[in-house]
Amino acid sequence: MEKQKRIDELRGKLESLRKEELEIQAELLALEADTLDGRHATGNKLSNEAIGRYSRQLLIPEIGMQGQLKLRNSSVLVVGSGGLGSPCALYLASMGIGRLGLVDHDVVDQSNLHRQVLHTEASCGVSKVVSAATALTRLSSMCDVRAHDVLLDSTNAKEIMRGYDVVVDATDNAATRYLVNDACVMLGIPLVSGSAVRLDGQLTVYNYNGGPCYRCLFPTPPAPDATANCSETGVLGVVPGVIGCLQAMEVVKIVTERKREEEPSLLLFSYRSQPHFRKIKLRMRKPTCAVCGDSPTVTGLVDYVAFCGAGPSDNAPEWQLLRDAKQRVSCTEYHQVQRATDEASSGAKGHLLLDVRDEVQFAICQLPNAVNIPIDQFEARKGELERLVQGLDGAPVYAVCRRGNVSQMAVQFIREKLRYEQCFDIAGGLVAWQREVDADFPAY
Amino acid sequence: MEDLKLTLKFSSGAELMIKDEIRADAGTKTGDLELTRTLPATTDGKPTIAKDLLEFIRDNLIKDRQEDFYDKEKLRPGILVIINGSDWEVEDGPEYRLQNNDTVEFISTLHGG
Repeated sequence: MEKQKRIDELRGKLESLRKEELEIQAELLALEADTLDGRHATGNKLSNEAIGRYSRQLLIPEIGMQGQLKLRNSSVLVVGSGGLGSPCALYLASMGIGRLGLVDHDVVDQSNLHRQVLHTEASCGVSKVVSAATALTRLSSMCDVRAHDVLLDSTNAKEIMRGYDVVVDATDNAATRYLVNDACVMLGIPLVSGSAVRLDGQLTVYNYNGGPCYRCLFPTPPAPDATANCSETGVLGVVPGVIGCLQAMEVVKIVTERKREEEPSLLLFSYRSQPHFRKIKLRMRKPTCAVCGDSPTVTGLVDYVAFCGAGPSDNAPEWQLLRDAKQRVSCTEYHQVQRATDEASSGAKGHLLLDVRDEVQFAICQLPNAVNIPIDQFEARKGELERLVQGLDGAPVYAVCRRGNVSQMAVQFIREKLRYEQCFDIAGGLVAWQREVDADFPAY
Repeated sequence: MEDLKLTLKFSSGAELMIKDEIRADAGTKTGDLELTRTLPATTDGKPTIAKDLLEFIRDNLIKDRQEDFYDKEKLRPGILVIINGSDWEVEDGPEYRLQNNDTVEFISTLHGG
């Protein structure tokens, strides 16, 4: 009994200490934000403490004393403190980079924790850069961590990035990738770019040693609906981990000048392929490139959200496919339909609830009596759909998905192709259901 | 002239552009897709080049909005073409003269992190 009491007491104490540490770190970062002089040592000597700490790296001929001094005297900006930025910043700090800047505007969410390993349960709801700086300064007092709790955009990017020796692109969206690339070209900073979605990762160094910039490879941004992000398509935790670690290694190679000997390349990583890595030889800088070419047409930062047709928000857009508001019902309205059906005598054909998410998402959670036909299979399973709908004797069909976007396509399909007018979209989907009707329904 | 036997690969999401029935035949729902296709060595009396292959893929393999994949000399943004392990711009890009047994890959750029 005594022992259990003590265990509970200690657990509670740890939990509050963890919260308190984050609060202290936030205040400290704010107070130190405008101190310009670095807290890390500079010059051409390592202290005895540093020699002891980095001894295992000093023993490698490729690094040695000169390389370790270069790491210590360099500054690296990591843009994004998420799945890529977490492992990358962690290793940069642990290997002895002198100054480490972090940029992120987001706060930690529990759905980040499986891959964004700098953050903890205690830091949910806390700013990502504060959470990251807490972990990094706990690891090393020799690293001068600078936190920029802002959304990087055309108005602040150059000011934040100027003066750093290397920039790491650990962001999650096209608009910020073009912004970071263009600013790096304009400031003459090499860019270590990584990305990861689902089970695949990619790594490239841009704007370095005569190699291409991001725009040389991708002069035109992809259509907004063609890009996949982690919150929509998912990502295996370790995949950005692998790429983020490699980004840290590329930084070391640039700082120690080893990278000069290499040709530009794109490294592809996949969980599925054997071997997991493949290298693709890339073109050199394109003389016709709009930003790094011989006569650039982009000479200042532009509006990247307009350029890409989508912004840096990780949130999915809200579609408005159904123009007629009568074709959509709110979750609260559907909840009433559901209750009315429950109360009606058994056997009555109340309505059909059609869940149009893919099978993987349907397996995570579903509403009672939902029939799952993924939107991608509508055309192939048209006959089956037709029979379902005809068996309803005019009773309504309600279509639901995760956010109320593709369910609108389903309503259009049933109304136009199956000519069944009693079909409605559940606006906002299951996300709204959890928010408006049932707080106990799982959110994902 | 002999026909050109080509290996076509689609990965990092580019496989999702390909018709479902072709993906099913190749045994993949998502994930790297590898196909072999044969093209004539000449197209309109000239040697077959990468551009001709793009048209072939658009007309035979692409699932929907075919013109978005390749139209009026424009390849869909965000797709890298890799010929025998190199960015096609290292070769002659769309003008590259295809050889028997070439491997041509299509890779989507990823943005997540």
